[in-house]
Amino acid sequence: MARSKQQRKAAKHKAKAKAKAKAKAKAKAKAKATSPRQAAGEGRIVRSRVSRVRPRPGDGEPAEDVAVFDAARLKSLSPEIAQQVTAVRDALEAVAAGRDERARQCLQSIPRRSLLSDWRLFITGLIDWYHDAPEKAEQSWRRLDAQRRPARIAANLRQSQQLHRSGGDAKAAAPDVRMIWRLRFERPALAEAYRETADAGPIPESISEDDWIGPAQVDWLRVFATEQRRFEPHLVQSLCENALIRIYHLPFSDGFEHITKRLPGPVHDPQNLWLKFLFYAPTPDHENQAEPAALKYLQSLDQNDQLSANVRDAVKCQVYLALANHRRASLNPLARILHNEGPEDRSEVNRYYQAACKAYPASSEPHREYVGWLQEYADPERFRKADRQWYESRLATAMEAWSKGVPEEITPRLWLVDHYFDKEMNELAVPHVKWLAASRHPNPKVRAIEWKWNLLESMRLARRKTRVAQAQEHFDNAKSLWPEWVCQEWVPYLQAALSRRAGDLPSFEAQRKEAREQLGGTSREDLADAVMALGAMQMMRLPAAELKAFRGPVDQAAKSVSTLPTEQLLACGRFFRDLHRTNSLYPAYRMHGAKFANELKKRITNTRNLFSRYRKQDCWAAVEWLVHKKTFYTNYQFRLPPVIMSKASQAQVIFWHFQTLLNTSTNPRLVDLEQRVQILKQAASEESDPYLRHAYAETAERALHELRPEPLFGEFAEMFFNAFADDDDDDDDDVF
Amino acid sequence: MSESHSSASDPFAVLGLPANASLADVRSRYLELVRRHSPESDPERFQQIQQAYNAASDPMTIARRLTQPPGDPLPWKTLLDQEKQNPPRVPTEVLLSLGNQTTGSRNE
Repeated sequence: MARSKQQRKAAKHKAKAKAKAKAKAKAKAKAKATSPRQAAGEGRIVRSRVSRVRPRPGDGEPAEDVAVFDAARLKSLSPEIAQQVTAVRDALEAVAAGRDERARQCLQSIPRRSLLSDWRLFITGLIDWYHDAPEKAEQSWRRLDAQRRPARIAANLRQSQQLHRSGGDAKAAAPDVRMIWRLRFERPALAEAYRETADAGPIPESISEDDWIGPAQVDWLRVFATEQRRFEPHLVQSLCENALIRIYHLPFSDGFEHITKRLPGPVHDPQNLWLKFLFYAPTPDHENQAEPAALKYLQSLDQNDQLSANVRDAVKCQVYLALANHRRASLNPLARILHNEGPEDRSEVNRYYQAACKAYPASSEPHREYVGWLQEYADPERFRKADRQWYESRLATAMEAWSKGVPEEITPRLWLVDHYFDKEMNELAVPHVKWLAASRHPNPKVRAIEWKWNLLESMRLARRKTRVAQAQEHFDNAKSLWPEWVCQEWVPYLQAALSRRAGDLPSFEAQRKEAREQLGGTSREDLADAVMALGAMQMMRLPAAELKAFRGPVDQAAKSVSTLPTEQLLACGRFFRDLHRTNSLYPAYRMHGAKFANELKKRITNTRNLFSRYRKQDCWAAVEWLVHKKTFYTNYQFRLPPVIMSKASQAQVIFWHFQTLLNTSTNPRLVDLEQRVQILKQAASEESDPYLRHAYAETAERALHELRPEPLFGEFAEMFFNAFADDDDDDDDDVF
Repeated sequence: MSESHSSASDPFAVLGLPANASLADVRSRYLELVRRHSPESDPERFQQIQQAYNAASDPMTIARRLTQPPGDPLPWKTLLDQEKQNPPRVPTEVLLSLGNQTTGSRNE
C-alpha cells in the first residue's frame, strides 16, 4: 500500500514535469514561430514559392481556359471566343488592381451561354470574396463546372478562408491553400513592417517621433518595396507615401533628395517631382529647384497613362496655376507694394495663367484666377493709366476665352457687354446680351441686362444729335424695365440730359427742376444733385462746352471737400453705390469719386453718433459705396471704423470683408470660414433687397471655394468676432 | 498622398476615400455605398453620397487634391492598423495557378 502510494506520487510528479516541459516547448516553439527572424524567413519562403508558381495547362483542359493565361493559344480560337477570353483576362487584371467596377464592365461582353460564362461567374464571386462576403461568392461559385479551372481556383480560395476562420493548423493544409492563407491572411510582410517601423533609431531632439524617418528605415523600406510590391502593392505604396510625407515636413534637403530618389511617389507623381516643387517653393532655393521640378513634372504627365486624360489636363491646369501664383508670391514684397513687377515677371505670370486656361478651359477656376489678377492691376481706383494699360489690354481676350470655355458662366458675359459698349463695338455685345436675357439666371444683373442694354444703347445713340429720337426710344424702354434695386431718382436726370442733348431747353429746365424736387428739396441733396446731373449729362454725351456748367459745382465741391457738410457727402452715397452696382460709372467720377470717398471715410471714423445724427439709409448706402471703392482696404488689410462695426450686422461685416478679399489678392487664412459662410447664407435668405440677397449668396459660395480656411492670424479673427461685443463708444481704434 | 484630415463637406471624406483616389476608385466606392444606402431606405445619406460623388468625380476636384501640399504624416502604427483591414489581392498569375491540376505533388 505504502509502495503503491510512493509509486503514485512519483507518477504524478513525472506527469507534472512532463506537462511543464511540454508547455515550455510549446511556448518556445510559439516564440520561435513569431520571432522577427522567423517571420522574415517565412515571408521569404512564401515569396520564393509564389515567384515560382505558374498556371500550367492540364491534360485535356479546354483551349479557352488555357488561353486565359497563355496568350499564344488565343490564335487557335475563333475571333468571338478570343475576344471573350481577352475580356476575362482584362477583368482578372482589373480585380487584382482593385478596380472591380472596371472588371464588371469587362464581363458584360461575355454572354451567359458562352464557354467563358464559368469565368464570368468565377470573377463575379471573386469580387464578393475579396469584399469579405464568402457566402455571396458561393452563390456564384456553386454553379461552376467542377472539372474546370475556375472551380478548382474557387475551391482553394474557399479552403484558405475556412482555414483563416477556423484558426486551424496551416501546416496540415494543402500547399496552395497554405500559400493563399499566408499571402492574404497571415501576411508576414505586414508583421515585418510593424517591426521595422517601430525602430526609429536615434531621433534629433527638435523633431517629434511622429514626423521622423531614419536612414535605416529608408534603407529597409527601399528593399521592402522592391520585394513586396507584387504581393502587397497597397501596403508598399502607403508606406512609401508616408515616408515621403515625413521627409517633406523635415527641414533636411539632403534627406529629402536621398529619399525622393529612392522611394516611388504616388501614381500621379512617381518621380516625386511635384513634391519637390512643393518642398522647395517656399525656400530661397526656389528658382533653381522648385520651378524646374514643376516643369519636369508637367512633362512626365504626358507619359503618365495611369491618369485619365481629363484628370491629366486638370492636374496640368493646377500646376500652371501654382506656378503663376508662385511667381507672384516670390516677387520682392517692396516691388509688389510699389507695383513694379517688371515686364519679365508679369509676362511669366501671364504665360502661366494662359497655359492654365488652355490646359482645362472647361473649368472657371483658371479663368477666374487669371482675370482676377488682371483686374486687380487694372483697377482705376488704385493704379494710374500707364500702369493699368498692360493688364487692361489683356482682359478682353481673357474674358472671351472664359466665355468660350464655360459658356454657362455669366461673369465674363456681363463684363464683355460693358466692355463692347464702352468700345462702341455693340455688334459683339449683342450675342452676349441675348444669351443672358434668355438664361433666366437669378443674378439681378443678368435679369436687368435688357434694361442695361437699352440704357447703354440710348447713351450710345445720343452721341449724334440726329439719333436722339432713337435714343429716346431706348431710354423709354429702359425706364419701363428700371430695376427696383437701382435708384429711381436718376431717371429724371437722364431724361433731362436727353432733352438737353436734343436742344429742347424748356423741357430740360422743367425736367431738371422735377429731378431736383424728386431728390429732396433741402440743401442736404445739393452735392447729390450736382453729381447726378453731371453723370447724366456726361453719359448722354453732352458736348464738353455745355458740360462745363455741370462740372463747375462738382469741381468746386471736390476742391473744398473738407468744408462740405457730412450729410451732403452721405446723400451722394446711394447714387455712387448704384453706379458701382451696375458698373455704370461716368468718366468724370474718376476725378472726384476718391476725394469724396476719402473725406467721407474720415468723417465716419470720427463721428461716434453717425447713425443717430444722420439718415440711416444714407449711412448704409454710403458704407456700401466705400466698400465697393475699397476705401476700407489699406496696407493689405480690411479695416472698418468702430462706429460701423458696432451698428452693422454680422452678415454685413462678413459680406464686406469677403467682398474685399475676393476683389484683391489678399487671401489670409480665415478662422471659422464655414461658420461665416453659413451666417451669410442665412442672411441671404432673409434679405429684402434683391441685389443684396443674391450678392450675399453668391459671395458666400465664392468665399467657400476661393478663400482659405484654417487659422493663421488667430488674434485677427478674435478681434473680428469680439468686435460685435464691443461698445461703440469704447474707443476710436480701427477694429480690423 | 494619405488622408490627413477630413470634413463633412469634403467629397472624398464623405466617400471614405484617400485624396489620391482615382476616378475608378470613386465610381467603385460610390456604387458600393449606393447599394448600401438606397434612396428608399436612407434618402438623406443617399443624397449626401450622390453630391459627394458628383464633386469627387470632377477632374478639377481630383487634380486639386492631388496637387495640394501633403498634410501631416500618419503614425506608422496607425497606418499599418489601417492596412491590416485591407488584405492584399492575389496576383493574377498566382490566382490562375491555383487551378492547376494536382497530381499529388506541389503546384510549382
